[in-house]
Amino acid sequence: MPPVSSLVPLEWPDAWQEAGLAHLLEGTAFNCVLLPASAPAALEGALRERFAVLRTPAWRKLAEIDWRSPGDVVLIGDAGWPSVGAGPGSDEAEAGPTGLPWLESNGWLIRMARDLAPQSAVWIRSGPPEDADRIDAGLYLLAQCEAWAHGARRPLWMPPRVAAGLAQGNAAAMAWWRRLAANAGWWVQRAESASWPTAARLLVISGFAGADAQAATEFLNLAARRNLPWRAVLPEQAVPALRGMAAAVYVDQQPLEGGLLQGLTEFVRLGGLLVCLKEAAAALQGLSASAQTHPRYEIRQAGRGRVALSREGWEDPYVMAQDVHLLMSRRHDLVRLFNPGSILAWPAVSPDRRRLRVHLINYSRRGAAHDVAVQSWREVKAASIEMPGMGRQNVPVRREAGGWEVALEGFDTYCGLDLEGNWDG
Amino acid sequence: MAEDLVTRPTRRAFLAAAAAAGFSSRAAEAPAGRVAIARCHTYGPELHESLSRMLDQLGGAARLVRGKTVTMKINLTGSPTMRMGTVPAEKAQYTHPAVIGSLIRLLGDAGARRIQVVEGCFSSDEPLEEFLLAAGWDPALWATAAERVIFENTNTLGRGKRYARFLTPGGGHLFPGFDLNHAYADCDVVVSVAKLKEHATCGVTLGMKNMFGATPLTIYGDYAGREEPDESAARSGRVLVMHQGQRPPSKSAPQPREVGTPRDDKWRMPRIVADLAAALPVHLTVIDGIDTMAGGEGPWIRGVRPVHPGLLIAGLNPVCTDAVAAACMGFNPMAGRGTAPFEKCDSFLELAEQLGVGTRNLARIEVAGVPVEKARFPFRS
Repeated sequence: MPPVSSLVPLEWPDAWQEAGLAHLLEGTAFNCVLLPASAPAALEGALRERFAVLRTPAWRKLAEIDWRSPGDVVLIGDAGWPSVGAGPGSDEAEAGPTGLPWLESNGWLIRMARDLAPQSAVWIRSGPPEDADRIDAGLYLLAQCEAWAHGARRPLWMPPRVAAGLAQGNAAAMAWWRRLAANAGWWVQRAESASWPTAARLLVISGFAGADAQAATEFLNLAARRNLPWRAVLPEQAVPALRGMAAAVYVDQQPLEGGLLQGLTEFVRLGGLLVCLKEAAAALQGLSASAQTHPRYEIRQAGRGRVALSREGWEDPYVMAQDVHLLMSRRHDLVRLFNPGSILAWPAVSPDRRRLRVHLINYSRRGAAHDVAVQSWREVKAASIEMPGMGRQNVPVRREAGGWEVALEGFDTYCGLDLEGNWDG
Repeated sequence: MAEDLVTRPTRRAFLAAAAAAGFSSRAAEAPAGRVAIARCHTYGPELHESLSRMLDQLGGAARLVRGKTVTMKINLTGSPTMRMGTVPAEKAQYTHPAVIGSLIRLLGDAGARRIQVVEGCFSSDEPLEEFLLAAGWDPALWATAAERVIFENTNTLGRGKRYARFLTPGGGHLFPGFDLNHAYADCDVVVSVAKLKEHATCGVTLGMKNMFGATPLTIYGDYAGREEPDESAARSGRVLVMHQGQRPPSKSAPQPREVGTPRDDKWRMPRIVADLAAALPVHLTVIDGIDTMAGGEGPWIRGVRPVHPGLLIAGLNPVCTDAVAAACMGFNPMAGRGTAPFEKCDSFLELAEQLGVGTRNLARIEVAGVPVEKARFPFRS
């Protein structure tokens, strides 16, 4: 079997009992078939001649994954279908507490899994969407793009009508298939750059387990909704990951101790911001009063940095994400969006740190109602964009009061914006 | 029945109208203040020179601010990430940061002891500096433009221990007073730094309408506390209390005289703007009309468009300054309801004049610099 990282998986529909339908996969990027438990052995045998075959992989809920031994592939089985508001197919966009549309997204959980299991591939799936009877490729394109952009795979799942239609040569089903297959082919060419790590100034430290898991994962979700990028790390691996960070959130209730305590003390002394529960910080030394006040945090000074001690815990992850963002300051945002609507942005940096790729995903699956622009404080020497089915195109960079800015063309699903410059530190 | 109660003029409204007859005498006596107009086409070096000259034409900045604490209310209406197409907010709905920065420098150079830059940030209690960063502005540039510059989001108590009360002389049209953030009391000079724009509810939004953003959301916001200000409630607009009168402000604050008043924002908002102008004296108004927008006050208004009047307007009396600014936009400041720009609303210029804040009669207003007729940039062309 080829290395897991090169697999492009597809969920073989239950209704396909004939290996002959595998001809649809020929010439496409799909090279791995996930077989249902009910698939006959003969079918499996036939498919194994041409594809990597996995029968009933062990999908797990996010909360059940042991991040200290994640295995070759992290299989997250409780992802959602990316959408705006209540769910796919809904015409009503629900507003979240931000007043912004509520977005169902998986980028945060993929990034979390990649951070916590850097040696593993990450695959996600979810149960059938509510409107699975519709032969509408848009939702599945968005779901595929979201997974690819964040560096994961989402085995292609076909609505039963599509699977049946393909078996019968139905034109609408074939059109659906061709769009999804072309999309996979486009992304395979970009697999390397999709694996670039997040460009973040915020480190989120947690065991992501037990009583701490809910607060930690919801924080990651809602910080991502604010377009606040982060890196997630387990406590025992946190100290080296502090390098280059402006702030660290230690989510867990377990009091800081040992190497992590020492590492965070030094991080703060040198100018970093540490946000944590008050009871977790009992062993921190050298804290002094700060002139800064906050309704939900006690702020302490230590060396050139600060410690923000949560008075009442992490009751509201939305407020927690907002507070952390503002405590560390938007000054550390690498990019900001104007007229973002239902678009989420996630910056990743190239290995030579000369290119910032801003993954922009439009969860509405419609062109934005207003012109969208991306701006950075840092000098942008050149910019280019690409969208599924298109080659990369240079786009003009203009200078505004807020820095260097790129106006985006409208896009339905995904736009990869590359900003050339110096993204060190 | 309930609807009748709030829309049909009552005896009390009738009496209020009769009392307005008394306003006319105050209007005739309303003070006049000099207004300066400058043509300025860019936010580059010519901006600072223009503003400096205008302040001199108004009698000099030192006379106004030397040794004093200045509170400078800027205009950041709407979300910092919302734009009219690709036009940055500072070239459309927000006061341009270069205007604010230049003014800070001029007032600092003139001897201001401390400059408090304030705004009631849109639906938010976050620090003003962070709001500015979200707009893509660097507050550090202002912080270093004068010796002591501080920032405050006045939607909450902020640095203050209690809200400051400002009573409307004569009781006002609707609000007999307002409770505001301490920054408006802990100062000697209030400056309104506004944008030259039309407004869906008030016809135009200039120096006086800018001050509406001074009302804290903890008291006047949709989620304001019922009895006392709620410091966690700064996450909405002021629609229910101010625009619509569907609920009162926190009981701790002066209550509007609501019985029989229309729940029509085009009746209410001009009165609130006028009452606020009377309650909270503004000593200097500066209006950024270099790059702005026509057709409304923000990108959320249908049909808005970018315009370039290339103008700066400044004055010591807020009504006079707004009257001159309205004239520069091609409107008659003496117009009343039914005439542009007040086709659908009452004129806050007229209402403020009735309260004796200042005259809107151009014949009584001395204009320095570019004459109005040469500065005119019709917004409805």
